[in-house]
Amino acid sequence: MKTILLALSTIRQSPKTINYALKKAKKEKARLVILFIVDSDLPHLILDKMMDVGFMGDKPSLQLYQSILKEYKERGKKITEEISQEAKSLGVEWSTLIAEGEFTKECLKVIEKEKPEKIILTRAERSCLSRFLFGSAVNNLKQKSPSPITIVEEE
Amino acid sequence: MRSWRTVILLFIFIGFLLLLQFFKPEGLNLQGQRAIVIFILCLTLWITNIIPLAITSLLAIVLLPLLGVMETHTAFSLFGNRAVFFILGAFILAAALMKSGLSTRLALFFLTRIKKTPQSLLLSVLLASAFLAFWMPEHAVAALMFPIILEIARSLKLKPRESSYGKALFLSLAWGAVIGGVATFLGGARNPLAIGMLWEEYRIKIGFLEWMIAVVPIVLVMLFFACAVIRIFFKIDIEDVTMAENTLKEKLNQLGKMGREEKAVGLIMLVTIICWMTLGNKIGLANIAILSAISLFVFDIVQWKEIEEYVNWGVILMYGGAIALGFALDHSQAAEWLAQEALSPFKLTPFVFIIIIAFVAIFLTEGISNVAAVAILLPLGFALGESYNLSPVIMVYAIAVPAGLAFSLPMGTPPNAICYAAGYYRISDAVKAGIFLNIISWIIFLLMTRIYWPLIGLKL
Repeated sequence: MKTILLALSTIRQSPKTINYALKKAKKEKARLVILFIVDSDLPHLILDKMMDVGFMGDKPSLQLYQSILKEYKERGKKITEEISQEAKSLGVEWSTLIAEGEFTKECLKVIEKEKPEKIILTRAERSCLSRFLFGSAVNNLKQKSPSPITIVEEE
Repeated sequence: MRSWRTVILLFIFIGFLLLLQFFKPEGLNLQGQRAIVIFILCLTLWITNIIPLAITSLLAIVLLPLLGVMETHTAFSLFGNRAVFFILGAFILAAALMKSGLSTRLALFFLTRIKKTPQSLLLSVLLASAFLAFWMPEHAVAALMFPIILEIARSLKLKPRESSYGKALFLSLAWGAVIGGVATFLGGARNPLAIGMLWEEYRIKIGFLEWMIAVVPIVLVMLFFACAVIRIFFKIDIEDVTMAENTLKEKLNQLGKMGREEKAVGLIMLVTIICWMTLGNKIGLANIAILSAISLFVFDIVQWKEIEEYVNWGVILMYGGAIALGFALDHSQAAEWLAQEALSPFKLTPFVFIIIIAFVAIFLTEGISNVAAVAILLPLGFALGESYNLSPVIMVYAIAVPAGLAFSLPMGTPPNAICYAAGYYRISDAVKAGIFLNIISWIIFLLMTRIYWPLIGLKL
C-alpha cells in the first residue's frame, strides 16, 4: 500500500493542503501519515528575547516558553484529531504523529522511518527575496528529501 | 546560521580595525575619533544583536579605557550610576509582584470589572495591560497576561489566524503594554536609562511625578487611538463573551483571598510609588527603589533565590555600558563634532528637528531593542539639541518616549514578540495596523509637544 505523508506544523498549516492530502490519499488508496511538528523555534526566540532584551530571569521566561509550547501542542493534537476524523469518514487509512523541534529535521526523521511515496506540504505566500534572505524550511526539505514533494501554496 | 554569524562577526571586527586606522577626520581629537569608532561598533552589534545586548555594553566598558578614551576607573564607576540602581530596585519590586501573584490578581481584577461586551473586553485588555505597565516592565506584563488572554481566546473558541477578534485581542494586549510602558520609569528601563544619561551629561534630574505629568496625558490619548485603530482594522466577529467572563471569574475565584505576601508586596509597592512621587527629588529615586527592595527581604516576603530566578543581572551591564558610552561621546567632544557634521548642510527649526528625531526614534525601535535605540540616539540628540538651543530635558522626552512605541514588528519589543507567538495574527496583520498606529502616535506626540507641554513649562 502506498504511503502519503502530510507534514504540517504550528506555522505551516492550511485547510486547502489538508483537503488536498485527504483527496489524494482516497484517490490513490494510500495510507495517510499525518505529521504535526510543534515548531519550537518561535518559543525559543521569545525565550531569548525575554532574557536578552527584556532582562527577565529564568523562571518567568521559562514559564512563558512552556505556556507557548503547551498551547502549540494542544493545537497540534486538535488538528490531527480533526484530520483523523475526516480520514475516517472518507474511508482513508491513517496514522498520526506529533513531534517537537525543527521542521526539516523532524520531517526527515519521519521520512526515513515511514518511507512515503509522496510528501504533501503547505507554504505561506512570501516573496522570493524573503525566502532567499531568511531561508525556507520547505525549500530546504525539498532539497534533502528522498521522496517527491508536492507543495500546496497557502491561500 | 552559525557560519553566517562567524562571517558577520569577522566583517564587523575588520571594519572596526579599519575605522580605528583610517577614521581621522579634521577638527576631532584622538579621543573623539576612538569614541566614535567604539560607538559605531556597539551600534552595529546592538542592531544586529549578534551577541547579547549586555555583552556589547560590557565590550564598550572595556574598549573605552583600552583605547584611551577615558580612565579605567571612570568607565567602571559608571556602572554605579543611580539609574542602574533604580532599574535594579524596580526589577526586584516587579519580581516580587509577579512571584507573589499580586500582578495576576490585579490583571484579573481589572478584566472582570467592566460589564462585558466584545468591545468592552478588548478595551479592558488594552487598559489593564497599559495600567500594569505603568508599574512593572512591559514585557513582564505581556508575559503574565499572556496565559490569561490565551484562556479567553480558547473559551471563546477563536480560531488562530482566522478569527479577527482573536487578532484584536492579542494586539490589545501587546499595544496596551507598549503604550503603558512609556508612562513612568517602571514600564521600560529605557526611561531610567535616559534620565541616567541626562544626569551624567548635565547633572539635571527629572522627577517621577514630573515625568508622569509630561507623558501620561500623551499615553491616554494614544490609548484612545489604539482602541480606535483596533476597531477599524479588525472587525468584531463574535457576539457574546459570556464564556470569557466566566473563565475570568473562575480564575479570580481560584486565586482565593489575598494572602499575607500579596498584601505586603502591595503595601510596599504603594508606599514606594508615593515616595517616588513626593520624595524622589529629595532623597533620590534609586535610594527609594533599593530601600524598598531591601524591605522585601527584611519582612521575609521574598527569598534571594526567588529574586535571582526573576531578574536577569545582564540588566546592570547593559545600562552601565550604555551610560558609559554616552558619557564618552560627550566628554570627548565626539557628539558635538557629529552634531556639527550632521547639521552643517541643514537649517531646521527646533520643532522640525523634534519632528525628525521623534520619527527616527519611533521607526528605529521597530527594528532594534528600544533600550539600544535610546542608547544610540540620546548622545547624538543631546549634542544636536544644543545646536538648536533645545533643553536636554526636552531631548530626553523626544527620544525616550517615541523609542518605546514599537507596534508593528515582533522584533521591536518583547510584548509584540510574545503576542505574535500566540499565533492568532500574522506579521502582516500587525504591520498594517501597527504602522498606522506608529504614524498616529508620532502625530499625537508632536501635537502634545506643541499644545500640552508649553502648559506645564516644557517649551521647545
